[in-house]
Amino acid sequence: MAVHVPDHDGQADFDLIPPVVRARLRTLHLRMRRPTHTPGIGLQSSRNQGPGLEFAQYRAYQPGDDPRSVDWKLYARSDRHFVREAERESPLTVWLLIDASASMAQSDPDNPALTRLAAARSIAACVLELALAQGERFGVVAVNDRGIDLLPAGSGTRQRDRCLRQLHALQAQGQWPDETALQPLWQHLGANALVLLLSDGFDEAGVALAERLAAARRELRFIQILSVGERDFPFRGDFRFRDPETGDEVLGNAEAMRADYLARFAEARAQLQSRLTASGIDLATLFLDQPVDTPLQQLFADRAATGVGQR
Amino acid sequence: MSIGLLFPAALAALAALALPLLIHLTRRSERQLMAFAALRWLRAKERARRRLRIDEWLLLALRLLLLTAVVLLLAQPMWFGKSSDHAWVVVVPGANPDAVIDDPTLRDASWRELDATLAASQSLTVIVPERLPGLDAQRITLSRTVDWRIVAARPDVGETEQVTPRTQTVAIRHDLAHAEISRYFDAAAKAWNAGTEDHVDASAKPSFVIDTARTDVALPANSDWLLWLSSEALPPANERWLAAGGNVLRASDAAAIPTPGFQRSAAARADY
Repeated sequence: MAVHVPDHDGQADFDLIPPVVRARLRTLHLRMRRPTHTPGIGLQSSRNQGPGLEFAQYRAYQPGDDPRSVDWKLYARSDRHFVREAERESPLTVWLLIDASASMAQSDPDNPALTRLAAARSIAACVLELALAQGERFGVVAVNDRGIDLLPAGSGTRQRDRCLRQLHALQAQGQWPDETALQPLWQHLGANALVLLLSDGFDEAGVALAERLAAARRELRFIQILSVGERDFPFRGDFRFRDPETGDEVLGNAEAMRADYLARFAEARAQLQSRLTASGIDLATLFLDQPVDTPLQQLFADRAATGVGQR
Repeated sequence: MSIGLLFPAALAALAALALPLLIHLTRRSERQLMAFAALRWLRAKERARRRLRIDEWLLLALRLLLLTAVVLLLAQPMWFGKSSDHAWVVVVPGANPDAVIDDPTLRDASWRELDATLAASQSLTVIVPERLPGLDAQRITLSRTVDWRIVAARPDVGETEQVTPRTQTVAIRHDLAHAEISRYFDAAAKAWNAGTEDHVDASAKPSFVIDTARTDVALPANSDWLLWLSSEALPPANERWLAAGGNVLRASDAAAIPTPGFQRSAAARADY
């Protein structure tokens, strides 16, 4: 299992990935829970037959096998048809599905520059580096009701730079799009793709989309990005809270609202967790005061027991 | 020594203090706008008991103090009995003495009171008519040497004016330097008015019409008195009026006649 980690310079995304985080990325590997069956060469474990890199076994020829997979030299020796099976590494397509609705512009008063979208950009940049290092194919989709900003999947450093340019151009505005607008997603996000959804998870439609994608054999990872204010509600005094997407306002005293809010928000998060678990979607949460690779560590850390891929 | 206000009505302007207080309270209730995407889980709730809380005490106190100071300035504060070396001139009214001579002891006491309030360094000049009634059959003894100036009493005073209290017009003309003093004369003239009204008839016309203006304003046509508070000489128009029988009182520091207090002009009478 030769993994070539290209020695990339990473100038383009220098500001997106802090050096400490970049150092920690070495311990991460994008992987899927189930084997894939797509052609090509990648890191993912596969039971596909054919010209693989590592020989697995011979088995008897069965009608329907590709004549190219028959080992003709063995046939010459043994006069019987054997099919050479290989443990093949097929490539993975990683999709970054980024919520670009106005709620992604949320940040904390302490650090107004670090918006949810900025954190999503950093996570996406990390994933791009990982995918590039593993030789996977990857693409980026950003969605809001102004339209779908889709960069078709590709591989290589130029594809990474294209993706980074698109990430930089992203702006958080509008709301989550309606279902019809999301139709192009189904054409591009092929089955067995690894889809990382970067969102706040506040849009019901976004969660529903994740569920439907997961039901249609896409492997989903939900990375929920929450601000410190949403987690701790540390505000003091009288506020006019305004929803950036709908413009609705709630007036009140922060201290008085705190307990009720925290309880309801914790319940909502638990609900989301259980919904996603039911659909087989892994959920990882990043709070804006944490290092950006926190959810990736949760989802993709090398574990001694599992290793890369599953045999 | 006590503080007094020349224009106490200005204290009504203290009502303006409510303004910064109101501003302070309303500004505090202004809510800070906060973008909050997780609004769905937020329920509006006010503080159970909204206390009337004032945050920036110092700022509020400064604002209130500033306003109070302005109001006090408007009310024209002055010190009564402020010790000073200004010479005093007391003019004993010869015109209407019976108003004060009813109680001779009191009359006598008032001299002593005046003597006690004055600083030892202040000189006292008293201008009295030839006859000063109502005293306790002896010379007034005071702690200081008093410069008594006896002037001839107006012969027809007392009878004629008592019978027919004619409205007199007093013109006060002052320059910039004497604007302060003119207010005191103004107040004094008003006080005369009040006093005579009590005595004559409440419904009668005021005995004095006071006309205060700058030196360059012409005199009213029927002026009886002119109080000239300026270091300049009388303008020709006023000179003519004086020659025609007007009465002029002029400030000592202005005049060519160096006497303390106020000097009668050629035709001035000593009634006041």
